[in-house]
Amino acid sequence: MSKFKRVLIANRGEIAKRIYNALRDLDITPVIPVVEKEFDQCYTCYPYAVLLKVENGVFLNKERLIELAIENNCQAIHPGYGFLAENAEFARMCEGHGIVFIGPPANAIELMGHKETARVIAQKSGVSPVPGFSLSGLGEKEILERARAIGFPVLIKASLGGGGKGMRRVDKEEELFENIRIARSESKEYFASDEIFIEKYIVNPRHIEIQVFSFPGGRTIYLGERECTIQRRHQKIIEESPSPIVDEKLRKQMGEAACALADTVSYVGAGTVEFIVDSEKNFYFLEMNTRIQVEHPVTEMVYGVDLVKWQIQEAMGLVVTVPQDKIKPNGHAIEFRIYAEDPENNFMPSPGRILKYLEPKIPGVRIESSVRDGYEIFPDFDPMIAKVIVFDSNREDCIKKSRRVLNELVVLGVTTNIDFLKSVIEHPAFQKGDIDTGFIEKYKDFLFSANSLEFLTKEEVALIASLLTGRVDRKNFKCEDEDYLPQISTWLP
Amino acid sequence: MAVFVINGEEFSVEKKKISENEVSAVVNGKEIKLNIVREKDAFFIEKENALIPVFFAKDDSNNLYLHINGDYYKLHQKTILEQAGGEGGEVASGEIEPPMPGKVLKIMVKEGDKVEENQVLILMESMKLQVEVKAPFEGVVKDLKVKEGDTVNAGEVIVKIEKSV
Repeated sequence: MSKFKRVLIANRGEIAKRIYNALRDLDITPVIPVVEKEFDQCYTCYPYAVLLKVENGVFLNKERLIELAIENNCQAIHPGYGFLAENAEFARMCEGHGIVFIGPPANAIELMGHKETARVIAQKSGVSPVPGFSLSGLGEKEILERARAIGFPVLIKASLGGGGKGMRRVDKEEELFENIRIARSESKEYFASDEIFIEKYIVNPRHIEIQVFSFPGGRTIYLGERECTIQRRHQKIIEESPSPIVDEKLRKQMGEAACALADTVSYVGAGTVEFIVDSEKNFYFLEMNTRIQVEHPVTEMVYGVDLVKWQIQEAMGLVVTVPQDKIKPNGHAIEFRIYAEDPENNFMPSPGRILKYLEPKIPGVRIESSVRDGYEIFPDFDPMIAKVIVFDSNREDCIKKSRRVLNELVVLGVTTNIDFLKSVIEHPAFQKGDIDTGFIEKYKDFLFSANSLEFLTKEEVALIASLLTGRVDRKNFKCEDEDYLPQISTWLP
Repeated sequence: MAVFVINGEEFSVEKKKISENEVSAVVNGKEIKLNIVREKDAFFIEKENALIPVFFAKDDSNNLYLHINGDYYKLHQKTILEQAGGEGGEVASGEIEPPMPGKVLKIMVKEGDKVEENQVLILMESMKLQVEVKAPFEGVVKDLKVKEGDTVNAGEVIVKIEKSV
């Protein structure tokens, strides 16, 4: 294989920017399709790249993406995460057109994409999944017997599910069949399949995942874990590495299990094996994500690697195998996902125009974002504004630094979860690392209580406001990097 | 006078005075003083001898967004229309500021005129929109400070209505 000259980025938002940066570092020209309604706010975001103004829905349109890649002389496509990143058919189509799909082989995507198949493969590789069984071909009596054998509470899941959709917890036997019926119909609606399975519901679980990277020639290494336990609506909002409960021994056990699984499916490139960990530190296989993860930067900070660059180099056949014993964690990193959403309203998205966006420039802080002043968060896209990754020498200092960073990040114009994230890190249980996936529900009284000690009185705020409402230049949406200072060139008292 | 709504609570700012590094005003009847520092394009308040930057942005619906020391505030500035027509929005002082910066198109009254509540006093043009400045209550026109064709800034008192007793 030879060096790529141009690579198409089949994604948008912060991950498009992330891939753009990796490509630029490798002296490859990024080719970036941007949908019409985002074009104006993006076209100066990506200097030195080729931007294509395209129709909405392009990121799910396989034929169109391949056509764009061919028309623009791209040798490869990077799918990012979401959209077509875990679509085996798309990976095959790329291959069929002589375009490199930057990701694992289609076969591995397919095997891991089906939850039930993935469980069977995990078992074969000696990685125990959460005890459970598929419902297909079973009668009511048998289902009940098997559910009893696992023990209630149990969790019903859609075989093709994800993101918490089609998932139901059942505490009592009497409620089992009604929930199965609902889960089937939900699964059919969301995933066009009524295949479901039942597994043991782990009480107070933690969600910990292992980053793996498989080098050509079948050598897989693990790059430690990410603790992704703080979730809302079954989606992660804070991730960190290392996990406060994983020691060297557990890391090795989980890491080797993840590598064994990757090797079983002849994996290539970056992947993530997700585990549920119970309070006794037993870990169970959950699923494998055959793509770069949203939260990959915490691993990069702690292990000093560039996973996206590795992916691209691997696809070019140019990656240099790194031995496992060279992989050592250093320090602590926490990622905060900044969303345009309203925590007080069940974390519903709150799209709108970001009037002002300023990233604090603090050493050891990495911010991944494609947002700038005047950027609109559209209701039909993911409402993520930025990922803020904070690095320090240990967890305690990292939390302290995070407080500063979240305080100094400025996002004006839309409702965000920044204040909520700040209250999470103030909670003693979080600070002790004593968390489970029910954290937000359990501590909602603390997390949602209004900030009682504000820096200024409302009267003082009103006075400040009266100084600013005269002649604010609201059209002054600048695109270049701005100094971290308020812009009040038009301020007239 | 400017009226701001913060979390449903109203704050009226009157008698604003600005000197080099100090600003004061009467907010809801209470005298408030702040030390401020301006340098080039930056605006800070000084508290406990530390400079705190003030970040702000304004949208098209008279909302002001502030970020001060990690705290976020969303304020709505009541327009004259809202001040006049809003239920319970009776404005004690009768000092009227334009809702937005703009140009005075037509003045419908003169000093000493008796006016009804909601009577149109001044017609303004702002952002290609015509805005009627109305009397917040029944009273007498005092201190008419603008003439037709003038450009006015928000925050500038343009006319005062004295309440009829």
